[in-house]
Amino acid sequence: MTRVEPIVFVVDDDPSVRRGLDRLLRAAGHRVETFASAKEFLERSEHDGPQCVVLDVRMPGQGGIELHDQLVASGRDIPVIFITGHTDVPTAVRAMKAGAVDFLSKPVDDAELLGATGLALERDRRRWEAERSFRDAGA
Amino acid sequence: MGELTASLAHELNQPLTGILSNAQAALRIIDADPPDLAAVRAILRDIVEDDRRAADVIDRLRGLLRKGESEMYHLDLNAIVRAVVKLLGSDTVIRNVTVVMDLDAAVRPVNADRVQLEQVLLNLLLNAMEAMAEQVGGDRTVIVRTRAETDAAVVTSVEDCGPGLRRGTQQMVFEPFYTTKKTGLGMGLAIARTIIEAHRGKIWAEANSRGGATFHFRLPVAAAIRQ
Repeated sequence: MTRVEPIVFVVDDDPSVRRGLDRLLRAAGHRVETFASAKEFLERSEHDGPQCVVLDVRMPGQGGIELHDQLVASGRDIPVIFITGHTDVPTAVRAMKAGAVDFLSKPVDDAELLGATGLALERDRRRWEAERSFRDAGA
Repeated sequence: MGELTASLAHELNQPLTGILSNAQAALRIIDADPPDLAAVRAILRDIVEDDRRAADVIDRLRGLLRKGESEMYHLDLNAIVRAVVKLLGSDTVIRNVTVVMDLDAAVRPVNADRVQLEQVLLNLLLNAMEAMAEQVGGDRTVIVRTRAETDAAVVTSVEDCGPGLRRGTQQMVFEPFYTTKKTGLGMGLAIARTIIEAHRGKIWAEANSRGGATFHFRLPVAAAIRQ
């Protein structure tokens, strides 16, 4: 069985936040890819392996919540961890109901972020393995 | 101003996020054997840069509110209300909201910074209109009142008929980052309070008979300040 490396995707419009999160997640041993916008992320081909997205709520153009809605609507069931600059309870509740793994406030603490990404990747690994064995059975 | 301060708060949080995640990454990197010092150097440069960015944001915020730098004149509150309502003209049409002005001709001039007062009114009016955004049909009227409360004080009120304040939040709404909106950052009313208090006034909120919220602010009249 080939070992497929999980990826953590980071979508945030701020270059400094992207670099910081990228370094932190890498330092913790994750493979990371960063994107400056929802559009950039959607243009990337779908990764065939466990994955999760760390998603900024407030971005110019399409925001994180809208991107999540779009992913859900298109059947891409990627675990999402939202990061946001302010505590906004109604938005957080809505996001969690829509299936987000977590809703973290900026500045994001490493323990919280790594805990949430670990959980998200574990959840997605199970999804991916189930999908793969289904595919293999069908092939 | 609401939007402006919201974006300032957002801009402040971004460098703070960059600083924290970079610093925490560096802590992990220096624990490695051997530590990648080039990576740590790049991280420290980013942290310095982010720190400058944060300081710039605070400078700008201060510039908006600095006492002594504001320009205080004797101003007619009624004229300011009319100007702000006019400014919001197209917004009211888009949002299908009617703004009714009920202005007391007897109000005396206040000693105030025009731009800052306009910003307070703008925040209150935008909040009022947004509060009614989900009201389907029915009453969509905002009432702006000025009243000469005494010889020494003028009260301006903005009344909406939205869902009203949640029980027990009359004080909380003025706290920074308190928001009930999907897109707000919760700085509008905090800034309004800062401005009104810098003018030796008072701002408060209460429920009204139309089921909505009314925001009042009281300012001393210009002659009363001089005494």
